[in-house]
Amino acid sequence: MSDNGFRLYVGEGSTVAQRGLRLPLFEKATELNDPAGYLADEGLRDAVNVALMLGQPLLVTGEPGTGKTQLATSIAYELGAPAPLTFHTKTTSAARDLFYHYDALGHFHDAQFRKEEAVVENYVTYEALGLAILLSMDAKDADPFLPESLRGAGPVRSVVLIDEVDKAPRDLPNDVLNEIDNMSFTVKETGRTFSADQGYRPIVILTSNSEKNLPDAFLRRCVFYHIAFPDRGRLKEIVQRRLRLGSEFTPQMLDHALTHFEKIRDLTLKKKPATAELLAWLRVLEKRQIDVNNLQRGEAEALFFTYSILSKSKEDREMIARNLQSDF
Amino acid sequence: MSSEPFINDQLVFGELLAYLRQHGFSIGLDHYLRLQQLLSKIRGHCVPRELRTLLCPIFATSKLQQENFYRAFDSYFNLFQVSAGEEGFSESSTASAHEHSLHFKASTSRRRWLYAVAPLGFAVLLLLAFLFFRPPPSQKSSNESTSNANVDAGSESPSEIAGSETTSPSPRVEPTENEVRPNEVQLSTPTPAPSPTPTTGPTFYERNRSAIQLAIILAPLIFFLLYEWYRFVRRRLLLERQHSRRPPFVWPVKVDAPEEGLYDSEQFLTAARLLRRRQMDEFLRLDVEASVTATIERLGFPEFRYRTDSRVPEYLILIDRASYKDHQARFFEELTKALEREGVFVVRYFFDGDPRVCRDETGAGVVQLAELENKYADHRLLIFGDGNNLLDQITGRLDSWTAVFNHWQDRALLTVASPSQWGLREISLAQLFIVLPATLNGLLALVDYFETTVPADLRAWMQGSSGTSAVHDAPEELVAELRSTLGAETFEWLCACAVYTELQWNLTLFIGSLPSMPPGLLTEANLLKLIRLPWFRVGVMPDEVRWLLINRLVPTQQEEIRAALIALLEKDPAPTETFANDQYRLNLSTQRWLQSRTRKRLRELLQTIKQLPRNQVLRDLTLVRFLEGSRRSPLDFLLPDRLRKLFYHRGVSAFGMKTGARFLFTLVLVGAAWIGIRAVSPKTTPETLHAELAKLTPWPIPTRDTSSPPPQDSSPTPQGPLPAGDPNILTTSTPSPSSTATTNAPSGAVPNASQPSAGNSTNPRPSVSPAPLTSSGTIVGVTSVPGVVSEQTTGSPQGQNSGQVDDSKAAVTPGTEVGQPQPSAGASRPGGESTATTTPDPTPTSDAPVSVGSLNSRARSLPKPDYPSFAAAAQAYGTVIVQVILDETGKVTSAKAVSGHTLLREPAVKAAFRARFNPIIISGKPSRVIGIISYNFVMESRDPQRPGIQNRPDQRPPGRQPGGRNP
Repeated sequence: MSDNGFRLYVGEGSTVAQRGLRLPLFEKATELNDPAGYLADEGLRDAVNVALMLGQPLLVTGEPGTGKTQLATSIAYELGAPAPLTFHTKTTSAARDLFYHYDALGHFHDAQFRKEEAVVENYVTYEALGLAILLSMDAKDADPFLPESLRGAGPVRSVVLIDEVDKAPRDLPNDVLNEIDNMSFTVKETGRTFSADQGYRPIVILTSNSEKNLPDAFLRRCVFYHIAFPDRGRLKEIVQRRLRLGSEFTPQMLDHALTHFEKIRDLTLKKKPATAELLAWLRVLEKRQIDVNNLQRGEAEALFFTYSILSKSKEDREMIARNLQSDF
Repeated sequence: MSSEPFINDQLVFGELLAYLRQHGFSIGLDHYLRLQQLLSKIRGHCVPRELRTLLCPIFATSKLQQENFYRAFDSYFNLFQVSAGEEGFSESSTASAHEHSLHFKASTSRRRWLYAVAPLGFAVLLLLAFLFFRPPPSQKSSNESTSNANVDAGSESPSEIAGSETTSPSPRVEPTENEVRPNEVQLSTPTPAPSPTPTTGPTFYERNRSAIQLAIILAPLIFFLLYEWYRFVRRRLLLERQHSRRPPFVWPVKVDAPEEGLYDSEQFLTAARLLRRRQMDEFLRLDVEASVTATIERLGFPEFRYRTDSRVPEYLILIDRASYKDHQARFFEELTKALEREGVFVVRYFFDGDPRVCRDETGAGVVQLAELENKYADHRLLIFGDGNNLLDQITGRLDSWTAVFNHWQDRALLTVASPSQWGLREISLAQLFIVLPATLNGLLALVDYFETTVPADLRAWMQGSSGTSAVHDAPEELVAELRSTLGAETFEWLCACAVYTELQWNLTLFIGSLPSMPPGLLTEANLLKLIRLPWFRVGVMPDEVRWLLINRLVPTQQEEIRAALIALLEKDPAPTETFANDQYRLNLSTQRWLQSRTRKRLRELLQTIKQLPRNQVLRDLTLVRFLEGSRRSPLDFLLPDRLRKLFYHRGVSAFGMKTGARFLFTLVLVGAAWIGIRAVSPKTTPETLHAELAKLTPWPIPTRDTSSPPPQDSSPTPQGPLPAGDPNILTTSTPSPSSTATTNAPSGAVPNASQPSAGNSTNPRPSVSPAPLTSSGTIVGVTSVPGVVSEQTTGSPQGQNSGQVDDSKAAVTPGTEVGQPQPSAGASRPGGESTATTTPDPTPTSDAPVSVGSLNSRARSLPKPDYPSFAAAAQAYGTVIVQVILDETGKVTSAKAVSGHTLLREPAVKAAFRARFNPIIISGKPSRVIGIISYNFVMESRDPQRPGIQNRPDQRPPGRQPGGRNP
């Protein structure tokens, strides 16, 4: 078969069994998220250290796929902290959501229909930053409020990742300024205030796609770093650390693939592929044993299909195919 | 904190912070604190290059700032990079740039070094040559001992005497020597018989002394000529060097925005507050309090209440920007920036006419409207512009693609057009947008329209329509109309804006805030009146209008504005060796000249203009008009193009000097060499020169008859050289040994008898030295001006020869004025008859030409003048009157333009010289006459068959033709 069996779904109404194949088990490319393979550049390394020294949140921007989110994992890994507590910002997120969530409806329901007394605390769920502040406190003070899995862990410095903060409404950054500065918050429903032990001050990492400019007052309270797209040498280093490519995929093939990738990035695409896309693409090339400079019969087509990893729209994919056709 | 934040009362990194502030970073107290905190933690455990990445996260707040920080840091610490050696902490690119600049510096310093050393080396060579070829000192004593014998040895003996003079430490202190020497000479005079030469044979120097000395004297001249030739050949390379200039191409005058902002009024603050007012969101939230209250009211039966979420409104603003000088766009930009400062969330994009393609603020990133629609769909859309391109150009209805704007719920178009001039266009636009004037009032009304969803009523704004202003073709009418519509004060502002060549937003505001302008000019209403003029969109005023507007200003006001402009220009000069530097220098010199109107400034301006490409100067026609109106010096004259290119090509200097200066320097060198050699051998050099010249020149060099001493020598005229006793005269006058013997007699007497100062003996040299070339025995009593000498020597036996020489000189002397007969005419023609025609009339100068008025009708042939391309570029036209003088044969001997366009004068004069006339008979004989020829240049007609007629029917003469052709 010309597609080496990678095309499991053919869309012609025949089953895998009829074609003499079977659905293989999913192999997760775990090393892609392995913090041990993360490679921060010099500026990023210093920015993290400055944030640690000053005790201020680190705001990281950069193209999607340049490893902003994984930075938190890497920091937690290297500092020996528990896995980062992540808050995924939504367009409806309010300042309170960063710290806790109060299930008013559930509380109301239980108050109406249950016999036992509904304690407010039971309806408060602590979110990433709230958990981090609780974890920094003495275990005996914090444990009653912590979920089962985290009890007894404190006091500890934890890493908090507030992902894609630019997605939040305009008010959010300004509303949390004071709380992040002081690392304390109050649960309005119970009136209880929690303050972090400054010795165990949580390490806050914010990521943004720079889609919106954040308010100046907020920016001034952050340590900032923009992750630029790595250059050729660095890219190679990242690939080697991350993928640990097999011996079949020779360094020469990697070089060819990187050159090809750079050509693609030079095109005026709507969304340029970044490191994450490159790693995924290389993984596919490795599996298919495609050397982009020495394409065998049928491989050109297969290569074209792999462009779906690198491009996020039909126009981009066609543009890549159109511009790089002459190479083959 | 363990580390000290201050060292010697200076903040650590204080300079860096100041430097960063200069580069646009906003540095606050918190930055200082964070920096100190960081430094105290680092405690010097890092090398400076690591600070780059450590400090950046504190100061940068965006990708752009991060890049700027790295750049600023590198440039700041580059100062230390040289000493740091290997620890260079700039990136490779900056390193290579640095290397390049170093290389450049090295090459220029090498060149300068060469310039400095070349003349020095030349001087040293001269000196060496002189020392090398000097007679050996041993010879001196023998010469002295045998001086009696070889005094008459022609040219050699005086040099020996000079040698003894120079080698003696102080000849004047020891009178014995001085006394002895003349005696020796005196003794030698009666013994003219040739004596044997010194015992040693003649050295190389002695054998070729005259040639060597001549070579030394002429060497600078030859070097000069060779070098000029070399430069002429290399001219193209120099031009190529000029091409290697760097960008930027434009250097706009840098003006800080005026401090008193347009936007600090209460009205503006209200508008900003309204624009910030929270808007309803599409999300619903459970309103716990309301729900509880409602449930209680319903006796415990659950009742949920929700409330609409509110959010801060955000604005997507699209601004129509025709050019970077577009005042309207800047007005909107400033307005929206002011709103941003007040906390209104604004995203700005610019478009040129068609908003389907927008650009971000840097102008680099191009964004499609569809992308903006995806990204900012929940924003309120404000379009600033006239909205012309949203309409179909034929039907006047909204174009179909404008449907894309429907994706924005709240959208408005703020137009700069005055509501009094709104019409069909605005009515069409109102179907899609809320159309409002782009004023604070418009903004105040905007939020209400957004919130109430009541369709905007255009008529409310259009009340009080004053009608549109008429369109004027004639600039004078237009200016008069502007005066009445703008009002006196705004009109004055407009006139002041015309003073500078281009219109810029900040400059316009700056001029409006000058003390010489009416107070309180900077208001939104005045500014709007001004920027509605189309010139403020493109940033340039039409030249004709500009000229008229400038002339409407009071001179003192004009001076003050120009002084302010000069101060601005001087404060921020364009970098040298950039393209923008040309225009900058032109602007600066123009303003300087027009401010002071002194001759010195004019010279500076003309100097600048000379170095610029012609079209660049002609682009500013107002400047050309000013120049045309300036007083002209009678000394102004134009070198013919060929000569100018040959000798003064773009005025590129060499050795730091222009050609003229180099030539003068060469002459000085020649003179110095001459004097130097004369000082060494005062008595022989002229003689040898004379002999040398006699060899070189094809005609016989006349010699002075020494037997009859020139009367001038004995006359007491102060300019005359010493009486017959001057040794120089005597030696120069004759090459023969016998005559030397006779003339040497008085020479010895001079120092003894009447000349107390030895220095006097050098005085007459320059004035007498040309005598052997030009004069014969009869030239006495006149100065050494060759031309005059020649006139007086006509008729002498050797007069023809001397006449040839002199006439050729007379032809180039400036004294040969218009109307004087040209002696060269006769002399240059061989044969006796030609000389006869010129020589018999000795009083032509007294015969003044007769004025005959216009000569156009008397012409036998009147060629058309050329119409130069630069005149075409400047659209120069008009009548040029040329005053001519005709000689008896009807030939034009002199022509001078007396009026007309500057650019057209030269071609008119050239044409006048080519005109031919029949001899003009007055009182029965051909006479010299003076008259005028007028040339009329009119704009060429589109109809080639009838040039000029269509354009100017009242003009008699056709285009580009001499007006007087049909009298």
